[in-house]
Amino acid sequence: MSHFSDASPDPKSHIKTLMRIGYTMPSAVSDILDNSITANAKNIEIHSLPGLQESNISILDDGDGMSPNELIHNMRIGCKDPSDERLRGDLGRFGSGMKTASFSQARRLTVISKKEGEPVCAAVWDIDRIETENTWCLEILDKDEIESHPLLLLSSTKKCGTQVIWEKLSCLNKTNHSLDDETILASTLSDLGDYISLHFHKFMDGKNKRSFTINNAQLQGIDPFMTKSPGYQEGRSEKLRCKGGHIEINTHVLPHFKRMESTPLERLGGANGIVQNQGLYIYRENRLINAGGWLGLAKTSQLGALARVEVNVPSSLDQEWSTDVKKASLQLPPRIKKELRKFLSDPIKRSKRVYTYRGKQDQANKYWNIKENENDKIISYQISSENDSLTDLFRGASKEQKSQLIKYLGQLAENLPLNHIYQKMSESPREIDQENVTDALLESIMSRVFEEEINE
Amino acid sequence: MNIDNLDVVVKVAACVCGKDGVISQTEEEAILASISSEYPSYSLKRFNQTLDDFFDDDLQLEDYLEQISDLNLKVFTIKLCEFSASADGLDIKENIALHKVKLIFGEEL
Repeated sequence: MSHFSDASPDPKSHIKTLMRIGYTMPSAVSDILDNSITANAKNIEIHSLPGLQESNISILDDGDGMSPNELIHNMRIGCKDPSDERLRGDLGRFGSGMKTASFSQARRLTVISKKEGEPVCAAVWDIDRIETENTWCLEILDKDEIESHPLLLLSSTKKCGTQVIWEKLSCLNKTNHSLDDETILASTLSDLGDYISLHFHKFMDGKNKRSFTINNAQLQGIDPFMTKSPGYQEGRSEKLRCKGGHIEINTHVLPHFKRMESTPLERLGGANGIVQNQGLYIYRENRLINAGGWLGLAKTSQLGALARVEVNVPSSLDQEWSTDVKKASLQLPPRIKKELRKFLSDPIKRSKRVYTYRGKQDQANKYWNIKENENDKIISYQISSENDSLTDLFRGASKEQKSQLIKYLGQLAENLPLNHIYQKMSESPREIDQENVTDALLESIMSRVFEEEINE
Repeated sequence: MNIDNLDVVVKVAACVCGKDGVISQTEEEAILASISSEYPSYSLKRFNQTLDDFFDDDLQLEDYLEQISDLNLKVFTIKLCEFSASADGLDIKENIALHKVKLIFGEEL
């Protein structure tokens, strides 16, 4: 006769597994922000006060807050069934996000919360204590302990809200040779600001608008489609009806680099970032989950750099889209892949057209000819022989000078630094300035001639 | 015509078009255009509600087909399914579902 034995996980080992679930610092903070948004917070503040002996991070919101019982329930790992249907706008999924995200970045998690009409309450998960005692012992703070908490930011006068505090930060990766805590944290917070500005940009504008700050500095949304920039092109869009709402697909083509303003270009990672981040932008309940990449549906190419496909998915489809605990990745269901393929060709084609148009403009240049041999698939850049100045120069030159000039011009064309131009045009096209090269050339030749005369 | 019967017809068409859990905008517009031209009193609001109900139902294609007994409605259902499923190209799963509708209704037509 078979029998059952208790094989529940060992807390000490289990917590170590939960700490290594694969969050990055920005994705971990984003998971906490998801909870704030679900709790209808309008103001979300991230604080990491400098000058303290031990660095810490606090995330404070003015959302609905929790009663003492709700707090204890929500501090439990896996407090919600992932297969339960979520309300629209609920960004949660497994009921583990806050805890696993926090454990991946800090060894001590304190949650202080207040619900309207309820007393303020607080609970603490301390990994050191779990490891020492080998039990899931959640510490509940009493009123005095909460009020005297050194990191308390949730004002007692507030009707409701929640403060998540991370202490004993493990995300700082300190080694013997690393920078001090504050320098690392400052750089981490800067990356965090960019991440939040991109991934929550739909919550920073329009009817869903919320305020996000890091150390009281207001974050501005980064629109990955540059919809307000001159030269932006809106493409096809479609709604697919599914359980729980619609999947909305919109296609976008960014303006050419030359028409982009420098600030939005830099915020999107510069020209290199624009090329690398072409592809699908998948939003779950308005929160960006996948920022770029074609997920195997198309190839990344220089000419497709400006193509973007926006996909908005309701959270009711989490099961089908295999959303993971971190909500940082998902898999496209086969039917959606099929539907998306119909949309890809249009923005990619238009992105290519933007580039090709620029190419044709270059062809009109009276100094250079671009020869494209369709049969041999060879493109070569040749100095134009039709140029009037060059013709005049040849007319006045002796036979020997003509021969020297032809030789020189041939070598000039052969030695065009194409690889360097390609690299710089991809990485930093705005830094290329060809306007004053004639003056520079003249100056350089004159000084060389002058030096030779002195030497003679 | 009992308007409740039309709800079932819409659900059959949704079943054929939405074999993978998704109905494209083109298919949706085709269902609505087809049903509105034949039954103008069928409102957009009712149509949207029916499709939402469809995604919440656990019923299979056969269960919906069982609920349609009127011969004219069966003919219309087949036409509707053919028109809407092929609106953005008939894929293999949609084709199988369409064949099933024809097979089940075909015995009586």
